[in-house]
Amino acid sequence: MFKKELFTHKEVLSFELRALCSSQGYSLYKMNAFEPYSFYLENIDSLSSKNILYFTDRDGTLMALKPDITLSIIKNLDTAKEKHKLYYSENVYRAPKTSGNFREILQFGVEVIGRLSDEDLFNLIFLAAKSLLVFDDMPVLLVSDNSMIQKMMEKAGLSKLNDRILNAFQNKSLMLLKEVLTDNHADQKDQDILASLLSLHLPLDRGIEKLEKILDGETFRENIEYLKDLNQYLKNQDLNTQVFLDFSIPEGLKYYDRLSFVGVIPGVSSAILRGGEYSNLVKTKEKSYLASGFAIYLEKIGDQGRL
Amino acid sequence: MKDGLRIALPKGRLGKKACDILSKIGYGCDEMLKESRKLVFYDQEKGNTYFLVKPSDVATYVEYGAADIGFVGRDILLENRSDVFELCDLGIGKCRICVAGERDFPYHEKKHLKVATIFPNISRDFFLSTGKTVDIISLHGSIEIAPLVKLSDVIVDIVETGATLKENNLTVLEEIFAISARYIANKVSYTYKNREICKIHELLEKVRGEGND
Repeated sequence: MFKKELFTHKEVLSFELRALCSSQGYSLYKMNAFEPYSFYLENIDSLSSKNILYFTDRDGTLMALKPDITLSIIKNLDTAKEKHKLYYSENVYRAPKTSGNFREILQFGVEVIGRLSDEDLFNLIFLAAKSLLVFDDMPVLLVSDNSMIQKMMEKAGLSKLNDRILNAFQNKSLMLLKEVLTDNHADQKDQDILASLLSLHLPLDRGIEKLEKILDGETFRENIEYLKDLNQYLKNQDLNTQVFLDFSIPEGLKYYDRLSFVGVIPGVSSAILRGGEYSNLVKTKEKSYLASGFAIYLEKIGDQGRL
Repeated sequence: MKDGLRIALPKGRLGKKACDILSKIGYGCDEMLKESRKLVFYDQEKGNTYFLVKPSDVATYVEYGAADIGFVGRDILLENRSDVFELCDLGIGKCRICVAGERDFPYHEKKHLKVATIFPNISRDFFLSTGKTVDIISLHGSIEIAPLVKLSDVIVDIVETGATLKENNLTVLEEIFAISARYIANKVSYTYKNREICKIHELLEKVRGEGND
């Protein structure tokens, strides 16, 4: 018989998240603790932490303790199946900025990969928003469209300056944005649009209205329609999580190629959930798969003494 | 106790200027103006709490959510690579981060340098971009002595008027960037206390440039 008091709070949360994912048709994915070290070196740009814990196996192969789950899932994907809806609860091994030393970190995550409809992708965002309610009754999911920023930068002739612009967006720094755009003689109209995107922080429906006002309809029509469809999908689900449009979160603009999102709850000083669409990572010559996923950092919540 | 804003302010000269600006926009705390050794102040009326902390720690208090907002030099943000929102330039505490050394030091000809600094990250990033290799020597103060006693070839430090450099027979060899104080916010507080944080932002934009420096 299931006795809640026999489990740690983190384990109980993990069970609640599993039940939620299961109810949405996702299945549990288990994996090995190790992968060949060379695999992570080949994909180093896709890793948030570049430090990898490795050891020499008995046959001489250099192996690594998983610093990331998504890459392993993609690598070991059963390509005979057209659609994969997975969730996992696994330990990863990273050296967080705060400690400097390697730590075992319990990570819960969800991935959807394959020939996907918009509805599949929206369902994952819904699941992210819904997952936050396991931790608090006032969570907020912040959604950004990274491809929109990318398009806007290209329009302003700035594609080579991704890192500085990205930094300006991540820190909502109008000063840095202006500095980079002025240095590169960007058109004043483009400067104003990028500044408006950077400052935007509105509930999704009002955010979309604002985008329609500031952006050229033709270039961004597809993006805006996609956001409108997402908004409608979430409304139909009767979701209690607030969803905001905010472009300050395009962490890994190169990794998340369309929507990205983070989840926050009151009392925890940084995002407890991060995710987004990473279709470019799973595209091959043979298959034009789409992919999206998110991770919840259970360890982080414990670290902050929130739970 | 009201659930107001928690505001981190730097001790010292910059802190005093920041307090003046906060008073000007209606967010002052009278108790802070009194001479005392207190570090935490509470404004009954608005429910805001003020912390006086070491200037280099302001961004840390904000990043980790102990404070919702803060006032900090851009040099600290860049050195600590702080993960905070940098919302506005206050137009105070204006100075420059520079490479300085002895007047006759052949700085431009050197491919490798010994650099003494309190800004190891800024220095490393800068010299990497110029193609020079460097040995960084981290110090905590009185940096100007380093080239004079041959501890380093050059220093990377804050220069306001250049008077200290001149008195120690040093000169600016290259400017890295200009700095000034910034209004910053914790990324989660920005969502949950958005109205108040944005209101302060608007008021700060209004008073900026009204002879604050």
